[in-house]
Amino acid sequence: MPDLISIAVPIYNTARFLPAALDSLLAQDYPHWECLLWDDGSTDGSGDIAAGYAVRDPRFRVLGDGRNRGVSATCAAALSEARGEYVAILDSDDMLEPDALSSMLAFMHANPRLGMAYSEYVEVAEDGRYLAPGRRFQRPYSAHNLLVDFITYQFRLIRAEAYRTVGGVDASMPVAYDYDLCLRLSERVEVGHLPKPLYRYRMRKESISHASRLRQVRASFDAAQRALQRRGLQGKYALALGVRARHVLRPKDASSPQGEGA
Amino acid sequence: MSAPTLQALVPVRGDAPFLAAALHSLRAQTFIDWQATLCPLDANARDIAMRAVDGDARMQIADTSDMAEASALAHAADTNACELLCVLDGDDALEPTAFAALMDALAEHPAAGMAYSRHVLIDANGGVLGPGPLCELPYSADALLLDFMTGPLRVLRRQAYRDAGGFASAHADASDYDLCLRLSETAGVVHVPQALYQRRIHPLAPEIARWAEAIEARYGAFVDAVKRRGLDATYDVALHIDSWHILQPLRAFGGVGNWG
Repeated sequence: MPDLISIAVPIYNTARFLPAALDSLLAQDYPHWECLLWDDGSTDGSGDIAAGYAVRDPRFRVLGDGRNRGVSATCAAALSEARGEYVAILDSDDMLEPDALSSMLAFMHANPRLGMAYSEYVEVAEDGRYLAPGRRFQRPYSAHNLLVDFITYQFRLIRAEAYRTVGGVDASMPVAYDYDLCLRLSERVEVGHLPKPLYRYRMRKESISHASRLRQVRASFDAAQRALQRRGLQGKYALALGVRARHVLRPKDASSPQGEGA
Repeated sequence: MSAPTLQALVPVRGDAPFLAAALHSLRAQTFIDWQATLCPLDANARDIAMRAVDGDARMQIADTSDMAEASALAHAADTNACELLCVLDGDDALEPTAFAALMDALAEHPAAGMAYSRHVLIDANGGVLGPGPLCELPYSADALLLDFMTGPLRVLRRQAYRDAGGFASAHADASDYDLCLRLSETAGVVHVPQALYQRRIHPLAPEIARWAEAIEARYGAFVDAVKRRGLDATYDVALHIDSWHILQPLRAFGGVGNWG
């Protein structure tokens, strides 16, 4: 039997972008996947869009009761329903390249010691236009370097056994749950990098609020600090957080796509 | 008896472990016609302030132990008649010529409402970490919208302080930046390119312990200033936040900062 890949898609008010995300799954050249759609209480019709895909293709599974519980809880709940040998997360406003699953799976098969692999990604505008290559993966991966940078940003493919061994997504973390998961995985399994852009990260104009962004910064730093302690390095190293906040004045007719990463 | 020329407002918080050094630097000023108003921000700080003053008649203690910092500073400033005022944080220290240099600058620029200096960052032990990151940027009222270069040591004419509306509670975690923005709209500002102030960086310092709140408050003050100046008709505003983790041997400083 070919390996099944379970892809969690937590959904919250992304009706404009959700079809592109789900179409990118339908366009995969590897057909053995299931998509775990969990609507986190959307009010813009996203839930109906998800249901429509489930009607058309049984590989889409609509889960949950539609109540809002936060993205990490949604993601954890969705992945608890995974039936595949591998798990992954696709944000509901992003997209996969058609060979994302096949490439990552082949890479994992070629490197059976890996518990997780990650690819490169590109940044695209709201309308899907290519903007720039991603940057996070540029630093060489090591568990140590992961304390400093979220190198293992999308696209990640994780062995389900490894995912469960580290306890999965921490549903209590409102933000930065993916970074926290990667830190915990990096302490237990080998991680490999496939230098191929397989994920399209959409830069949203209505980016998250400043307060949310600052919570994300703080949560990421807290996750790294916890990792430092888990690794017994707190006696040797100190982790500091640098933050630069820039006020921007932009002529009204010169708006351009903006975004701020996790 | 007339009031001294300069009032130094000294916010004091928590255990105030550096207050003695701050007051020592005050007493060491070459310009001596000053008085200090210590503004304790809790009951513990009040007890510590009282001990630190130790009967020095030039130092008063304001009844501010139940106030937020901006309100405490406003209260202390409003109950004083000195011609000039400045803030010396109870964690920080002045160079001996700080007052003299800034007052000379104001004397040379009678139209200016405020003079400010450069500063250095120091650690809990007084070791110099480096120059203040923004204070060397050229000042203009427009540039102040983007970078807070006018601090932390500023001497203000009281009239300019009042004209600008004084310390306000609207952006409590950035009351100094908010005041500087408002003052820059009503008065001239002069820069003294000497490092006259030591800003102490330690884990309990407000800009460390409340860094996220400070970023939000500064942005709020910026947005208000853009509106006051009528720039919102032609400009959109945004806040870009970059962050990075620094892993270093334990002997070095560990904490957070917004050093630009």
